[in-house]
This record gives sequence, structure tokens and C-alpha cells, in this order.
Amino acid sequence: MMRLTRLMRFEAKIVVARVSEETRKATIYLNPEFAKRCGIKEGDVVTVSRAGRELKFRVKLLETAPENGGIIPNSIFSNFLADFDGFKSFRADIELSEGDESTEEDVISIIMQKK
Amino acid sequence: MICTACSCLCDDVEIVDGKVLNACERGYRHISRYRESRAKPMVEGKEVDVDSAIEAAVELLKSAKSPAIYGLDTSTVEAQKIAVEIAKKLNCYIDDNSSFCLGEFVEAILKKEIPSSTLDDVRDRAYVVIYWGTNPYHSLPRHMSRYAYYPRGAKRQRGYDEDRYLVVIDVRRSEAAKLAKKNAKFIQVDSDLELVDSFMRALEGKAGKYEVASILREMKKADFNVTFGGLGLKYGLRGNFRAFCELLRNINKFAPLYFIPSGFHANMRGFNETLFEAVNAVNSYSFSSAASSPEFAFTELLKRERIDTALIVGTDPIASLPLEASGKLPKLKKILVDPRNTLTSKIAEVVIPSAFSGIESGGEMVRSDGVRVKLKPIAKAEVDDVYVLKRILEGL
Repeated sequence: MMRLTRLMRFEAKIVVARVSEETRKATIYLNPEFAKRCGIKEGDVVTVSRAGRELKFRVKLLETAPENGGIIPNSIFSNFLADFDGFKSFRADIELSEGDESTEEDVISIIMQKK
Repeated sequence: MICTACSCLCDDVEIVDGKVLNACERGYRHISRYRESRAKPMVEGKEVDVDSAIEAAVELLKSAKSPAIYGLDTSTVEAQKIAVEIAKKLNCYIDDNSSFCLGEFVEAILKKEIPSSTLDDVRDRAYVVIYWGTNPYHSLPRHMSRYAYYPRGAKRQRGYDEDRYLVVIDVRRSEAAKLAKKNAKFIQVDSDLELVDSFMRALEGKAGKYEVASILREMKKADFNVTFGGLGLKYGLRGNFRAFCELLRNINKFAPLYFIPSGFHANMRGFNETLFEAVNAVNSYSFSSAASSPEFAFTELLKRERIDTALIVGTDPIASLPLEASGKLPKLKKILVDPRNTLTSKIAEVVIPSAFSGIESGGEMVRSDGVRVKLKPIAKAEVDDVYVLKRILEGL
């Protein structure tokens, strides 16, 4: 059965920060209360979009994430969405998605197409 | 050995029977995995020998109309000095990550515009310890335990919960913020500039958006207080860096407060000091214009498409720069010198493998507080940054 929240889009505050857990996958650490309000669970895949760009992230829950959003570790994924005005913190839209999270190769491929 | 995973440059890390002792999680990963995913010499996607890769790099630089040198924050001071010589010879741009990181803080310290001190003095003397826009729990995992908060120092003998006053300023309740319980304060900040304003008003006895008078009262009790500022502070100031410097100067009329930048690559301060000694600028320098300017920052050169070739040393710009800058990388020739396979090595025309400074290569680095540290490598690589850059300089 399709989840109702799949049709909804939520505005989130994204903080770009270092996390100790080492991953080269696109991961977003959402505040548990924010995720609950949005009907998002750990392990879900969400699309994070900003300024005409979007990537898919696998969700993990983290208490130290900002109350109204989440943390994306400093990476090719965060920097693809950020710009210098919002290098450490920006607002973005989040919605439940399907399939797998984006890969580094996906991002490089988009960047190389800009040539 | 000296751990080169971050700018703390911890000097008590030991390797015993192949085990890494005393390192934090970040340092442990850095040291224990140094043999993994190593770069190979490549030219236009084909594997070659190191000499051929260096020769290809020299040819690219010789034919470049507008080259830039970028990175070097994990290289030794010795390598950085050679890179400056190359930039001088090519009459080109040279920059590191500090131009979009904490370079302006280091520049203000070197020009003595803001008071700074050493981590050793912090350990021995600091009472109020402020972390502003930085979360040492993840970025500098041993910072609080080795220097800033937990140790009993020469003049701080009663332990952290009595003899330190911790202040954490962040946009979220970070791991460091959760430690701010007894004799401590956490400020969840929406606007760093409004917090600067609140401090300024409190100094005049007025109320501001944030309650900070209690912090100033604590500072007044001691002869040494310190602020560690990170990237959250830099970007939170939204370009108004001078307002923060003025705040530091005004607080120092009231109570002693030192500033130390917090949270960058192992030898970013070394790059700032090396360039400062050579040309009186910490980054974003053009030998052609004989000047430093924000428009000569590598990111700006990319955005404005002012360079056609880049010699990139020990950094991964396609991963670490926002799209407005990284999106321009495909348009230029890239020579990458790096010990590890990175995402940038996948798009570089020339890749030259190097060594991990501090693990396989000796030399000098500069800690975040300006203290110079001699590295004690545990292995010896024939090809390191000094070797590669020296060969490039000779080839030019």
C-alpha cells in the first residue's frame, strides 16, 4: 500500500557537518522527531532537492541533527546541493522516494555533463 | 608518531605490534588504512610510470596560458615552499582550501589583529572555553580531552566541572553542546551576527537577543579565556568577519579572550604561514599581479573561468567544492598529486601518486595554534610531495 507521505514534500533545514561514521554513500541523518512528523523511517530513501538540483539519500536517524531537518556529511553529495552562501547550512525540500540512494558516480556524471 | 589526520597533530600516537594506540577514531582510520586505495601514475586514463606522469605534468604546465596551484594543506611545509617556488616560476595563482575555510582568521592572527595563544596555554590556564560553530566531537575528537576542557592544567587543577566554564555555540544541539551542563552554557544560535551584537550590547550593559552577560561575568573571573572558532562561525558571519574581530578586541578591553581557529586540514595553517612569509598573504595569491585578492581564490578562478590548468596537491575539489565551482573543473587540465585514489583522480588528465605526510614522509607541519611540529614517519616512501614538486620545478 502506498504511504500517504509519499505524496508530500517537507521543507527541512540541512546542516553540513562531519560525522564519525565513515560512509561514501549518500546518507542523510534526520532528527527523529522531524522524521516522525514527516512519516519518514530509518532506511527510507528520500529525494532532497534545492535550487533545481536533487539527489537521493538513505535516511538514518540522529538525535543531534537539527530539530527541523537533518545533517548531510560534508561530501560530494552535500556540496552538489550547497553553494557558497549556504555552504554549512541551507534549506531544502525532502520527499519520500523509491529505489536506491545516489552514488558518487551519479554526481560526477552530472558534473562532467556540464562540460 | 605525529598523527596527521587533523590539525591537532597529536604527538602521543604509538604503533605497537602493528596496533595504533592513543589515536582517535579519525586518526586510527587515517593511519591504519594508509595502504588502501593508493593512487597510480596515470596520463589521460592510462597507467604509466611515475617519471612519465611527472613529465606529462611539466608539459601541461609549460603549455598552460593561465595555470593555478591549489591544495597543499596535507603537505609538509617543505613541500609547500617548493609549490610557492613553482607558482613564482610560472607567474601564476596559488591558493589552498583556507580561502573558503578559516584563512581569514589565521591572517588576522598573523597580522596580530586578534589575540591568539597555544593549545598548551589553553590546557594550563583557560577558564572560559568557547566552541563557536565547531563540533570537536567529530572534527577534532581529542581536542577537548588533550587540551581544551578535560585536562587538569598547571593553573587549572580542580577538574573541568569546577575549573573550566564551557560555552558551546551551534545551530543545533551537537554532541559537544550536550556536554554543556554544569558550569557551562549552550547557545542555540539562529544568527551569529545577532549573537555578536548581543555580546557588544552586553559589554555596554544592555540586553540583546541572546543572554551572554553571564558568560562575560565568568570571563572576568579569569586571566585566560579562549574561543575556538570553526566553519559554522565563518559562514554564520555571512562575510562580516570584521564585526567578529571588533568583538574580540572589545571583549579584551573587559577580560582576556584569545582566539584559536578550530577544525581544518593537518597543515592548512602551515600553508598560510609559508605563503605569508613569502608574500605577506595567507592564500588567494597571484604572482602575475603580485597581490592577494578574493578574486584569486581557486574557487573564484574556477567560477570566472580564468584558469586553464591546475596543479592540485592533496585535495579533492570535485568532492569538496560546491557545484558552482566543481562544475567548472571538467573545463580545465588537471594534474593531481595525491597518495590516494580520489574522486578528482577519476577526472584528472595526469595523476601522480605521492606519500602520506607524517606516515611515509617526514618534514614539518604547523598545528592549528601555530606550534611547529616535526613529523616522525613510520615508513619511508621514495616518492612524496617534496620529490614530485621538486621534479616539476626542475622540469620547468
